Amino acid sequence: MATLIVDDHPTALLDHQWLNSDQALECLKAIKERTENQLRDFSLLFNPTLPHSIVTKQYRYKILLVGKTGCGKTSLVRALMGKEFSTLNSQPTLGIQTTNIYWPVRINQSTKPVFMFRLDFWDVGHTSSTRFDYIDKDSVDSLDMIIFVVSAADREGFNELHRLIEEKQSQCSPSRRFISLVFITKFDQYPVLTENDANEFQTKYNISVYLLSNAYSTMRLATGYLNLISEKLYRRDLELTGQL
Amino acid sequence: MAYCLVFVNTNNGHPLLVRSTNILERNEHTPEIILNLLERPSDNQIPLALIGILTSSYTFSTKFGITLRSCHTDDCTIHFHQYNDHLLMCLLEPTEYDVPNECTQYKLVLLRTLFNMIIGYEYIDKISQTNPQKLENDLNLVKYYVDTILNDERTFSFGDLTQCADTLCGFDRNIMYSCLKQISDNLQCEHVSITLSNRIIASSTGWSRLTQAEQYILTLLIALNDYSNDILPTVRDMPVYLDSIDRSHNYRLLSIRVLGQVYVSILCSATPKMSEFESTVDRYCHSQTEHIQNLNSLLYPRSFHDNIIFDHNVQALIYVNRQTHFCVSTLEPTKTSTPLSRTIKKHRYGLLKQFYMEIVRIDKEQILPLGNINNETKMNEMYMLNDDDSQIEHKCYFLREQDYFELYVLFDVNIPTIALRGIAKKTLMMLRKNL
Repeated sequence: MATLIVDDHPTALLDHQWLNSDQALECLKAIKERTENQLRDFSLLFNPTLPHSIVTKQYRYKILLVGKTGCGKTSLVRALMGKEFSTLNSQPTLGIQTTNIYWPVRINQSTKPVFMFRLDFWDVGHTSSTRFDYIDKDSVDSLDMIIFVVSAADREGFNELHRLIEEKQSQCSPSRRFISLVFITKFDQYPVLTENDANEFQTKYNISVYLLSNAYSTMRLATGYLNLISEKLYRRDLELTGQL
Repeated sequence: MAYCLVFVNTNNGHPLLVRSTNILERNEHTPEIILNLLERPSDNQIPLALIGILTSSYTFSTKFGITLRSCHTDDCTIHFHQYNDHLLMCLLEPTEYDVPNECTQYKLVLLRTLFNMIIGYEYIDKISQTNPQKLENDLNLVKYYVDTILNDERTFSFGDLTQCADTLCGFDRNIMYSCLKQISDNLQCEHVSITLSNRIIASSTGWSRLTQAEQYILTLLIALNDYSNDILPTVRDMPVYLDSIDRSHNYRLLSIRVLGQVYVSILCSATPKMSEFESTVDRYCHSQTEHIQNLNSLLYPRSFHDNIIFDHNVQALIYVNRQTHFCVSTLEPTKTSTPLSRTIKKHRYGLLKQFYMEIVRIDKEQILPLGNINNETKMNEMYMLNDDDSQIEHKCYFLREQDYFELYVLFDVNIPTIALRGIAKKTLMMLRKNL
């Protein structure tokens, strides 16, 4: 079962309960598969259409996934779409691939506006990024968030994580701060890392760490993670514009 | 069709990559079975001793100035392809399939093109001598694509057999060509293509100048996730090497999923950025959304526009235009409200493929060699009735016109044999007008 380490912001900027309302159901209907309880694959000319009376604005965010080959970056994107998180039989990613996830949010303000967040997940194949310089340059441009993915069986990778985070921070523009998150995957498969390791890392570096198992990925779990990601992105936007 | 590929270092006999379709077929089952397979080596995996024998047979004959191209056992044919001075590709196939040499050799060309395109010939050549362990890891990148080439039932296309680019038929290409030209001019890129799944809708001159094998592998890379039931990314940026242009320098295959299974792809160098590519394609394709939507729904998966209607006895067909090097095929010629089951499609695909290979085999044999050696008599028509225990299982017809236009049709078994020729002729005439 996936474990969520408690977030450090007690006051939410987004109204997460709104997702259970009739209005939210109408939004979710536009972004979900008709037959299965998972998010749809959208494309360049196929976007969710929602009435302007509900959704007032759309915001676009760039989220980069960083991690070693086979740690489950692509599988994490699958899980965030409510699809099965499975690293079995998966093929290594070649170069960069971007997947767009649309997620509606309602802001905790007096007017209660509803925004559609377009989360562009940039999944970068580790082998390609180490061999071809251009991939790193393109992927860190105008970043909003980096999700560092590490396998629970990879102690060495976990120990190097902080150095990697610092390296990425140095590559990005200091005026445009990005958010860092850590996902530890495959927690049900011969884990070397423990929850204690994750807790210690979170406390020491003040970076949120989430644990994910291969099994039990559902839309409910995806909803939780997408809410978290949206919350952090919105908070950062307000901080950058001096509204918080 | 069962195949096995072994990519081996001839210096020490160490296998760098081994893929087998038997294992692949099992992998399509539950995760438990896969785990069992991983834990217990199955009889489908090739023993190291056999790989050693294959390698030593090849190197032994080379020492005596003999290049071993293939050898046979009672049940298996082994084809050898020297990748470079110290790397060897061995393709094993059951002898009972009796695959024409031309088809096997092209499969090896496709595999070689795949390795070169994704990893790079010069890199493989260098690293195979300095760090074979790293090469073994790098080859993980190509596994999925190798599996798709070996197990072509995933794609249900015939480009790998006909050595022509798979395309679609019966629609107005002008709108897509104009879209393609605008994108090409704006990005100053001469290699552009628009595809539907792994079939080309429109491609620039630069793209069509690439080798047939390169075009096949590129369309495979573009449509990759269509076969894997995985997420469908919007934009992809893959580093590729193109031997026909410059094998020492990597290019970028930028590909965007416009709508459904329709992709726009370019081959470029450092520019444009992914975001620039996305906005350019959006700018020129947005006004054509309805047209692209129609293409996607009318042509997929039948490959022919709704206005092309085939005789109800036609179950599957391949049409090849050797002049333009394009082919078009369908396993469901009649449009129905419910899609055809995968089992039926697999069956039809297998039969049509077998028939195509039978024609290739007969075609390549010297017909009427007596007398004039220069007499190149070509077989232009042939029908085949395959039976099992005196019961006819299926009927096929081959027709060629003017050396370039070929039609291979799989008919319903109940069609009167006398009607095969007339329907085939009429079908070919209709298709020649469209492609």
